[in-house]
Amino acid sequence: MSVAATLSEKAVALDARQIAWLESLESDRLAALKTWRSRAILSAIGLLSALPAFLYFLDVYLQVSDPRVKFGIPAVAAFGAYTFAMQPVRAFKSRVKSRLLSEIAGRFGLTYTARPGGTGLEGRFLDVELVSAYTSFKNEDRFQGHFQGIPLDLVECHMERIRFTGKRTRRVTTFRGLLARLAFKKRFRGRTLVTNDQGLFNSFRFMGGNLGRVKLEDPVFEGIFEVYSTDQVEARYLLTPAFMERLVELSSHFKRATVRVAFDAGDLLIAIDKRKPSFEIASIAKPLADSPAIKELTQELLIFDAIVSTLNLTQKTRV
Amino acid sequence: MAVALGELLAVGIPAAILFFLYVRLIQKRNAALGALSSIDVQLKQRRDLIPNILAIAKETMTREIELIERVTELRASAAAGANVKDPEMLKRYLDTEAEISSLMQGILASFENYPETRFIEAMTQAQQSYEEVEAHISAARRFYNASAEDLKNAVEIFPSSLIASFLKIRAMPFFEISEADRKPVSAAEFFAA
Repeated sequence: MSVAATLSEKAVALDARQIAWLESLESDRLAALKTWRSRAILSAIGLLSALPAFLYFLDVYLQVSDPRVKFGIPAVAAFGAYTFAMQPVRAFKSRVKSRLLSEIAGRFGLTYTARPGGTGLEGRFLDVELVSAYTSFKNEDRFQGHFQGIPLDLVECHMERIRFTGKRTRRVTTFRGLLARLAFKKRFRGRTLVTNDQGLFNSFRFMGGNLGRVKLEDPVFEGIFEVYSTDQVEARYLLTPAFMERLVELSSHFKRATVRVAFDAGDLLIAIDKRKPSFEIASIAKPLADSPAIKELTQELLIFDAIVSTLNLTQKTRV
Repeated sequence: MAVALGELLAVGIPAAILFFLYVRLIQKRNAALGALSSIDVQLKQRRDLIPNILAIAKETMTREIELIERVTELRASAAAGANVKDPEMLKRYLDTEAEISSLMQGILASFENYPETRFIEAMTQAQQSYEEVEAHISAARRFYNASAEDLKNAVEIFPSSLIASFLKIRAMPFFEISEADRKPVSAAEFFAA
């Protein structure tokens, strides 16, 4: 691990004041769990007693035989009961998460917004074809500012698309992960896209557009990524052999995620499709001060190091 | 009718294959020429920058006069360009440019031995521009080498090699680094001064 990463590891560790704050939340945590338990029991009893009577009423008095109604209503009721039961836990997690992320981001020189709404990044990432078309999106956890002197904007984004199959419509996740925009020190004019390797389908991507396939020398890099650019020389100017190695390293850092990168209008855009939520407290079952869930949450903030240090973005090097 | 169709296929399929190979070969040659012209654009930018650096160097450096004169000489010969259809001439041209690159690195490195100079700011600025152009040359060289390798494979591998020899299409030389650049860097040389 690099020196910078070690330093950041210390930076994301909780300080004495934060630990004391988490300890002071112990009674709130227990109260949230208690409310959750009683609401869960209440909901289960309510569902188990009301649903058979409701189904009997539907069947005998209203003579409804449509399975969508018969199974749909209980499903909606179960979802409602689950949401009702989980609400105190969710509210407690959100309160803890917001404060911790805000404070630790502040140490890095970043500002944190829990619910940022539209950030403009979604549209930009769609324009450069780093994400596929979506019909709706939801942003959470935005970090903005300068990390190690590099202007940075990172947001967690969940994009969905509505698909119609016959009479049914369903929502399909097209992207769930992190969108990051960072300033890039080298000057460039065109657009270069580093996307995941699609094997035989590579030849058909961007066919007819102004992006041409760029074949690079590094076989490891070529095995993971495919590069398309409006300028063959500029693509190689940006993707030096050393930078290619760094991208491979970054990709191996996010083991189960797909990393895609674009150089566009002076910025380096990175889409990390993890297909799962980020910056969440997994559980509040244990006391927070020494909870692994809290450690996991703060460790996730090492992502800034992973990107800036791994890609060596602070240096304007020839390699 | 069946015979006519058979004859048509017997002639048509080989002709289509030959045409396909011919098109691919010409595409590869044009790609290599295109890549070469992109190097040329960058080399011209560098040749335009060199006089500024040499002017500062002449004012400042007393021990590197030979080096400066050699770069001036090479720059003049490289400015004449090369006939891209003549691989030998093209190779000499690329070698000259590689030598300029190597000598210029020497001049820029030696400049640090003159910390008292009043041209520090101008030289630093020129050095930054020069390094950016060098990075673009390096990128253009990688693009050219990739295209030249594609062409070389097509020219040397059967069956396109037959068409290449018939059309007198020859492989283009690779842009290689100079002998000086191949030498390992000796830290002792830096401390010796």
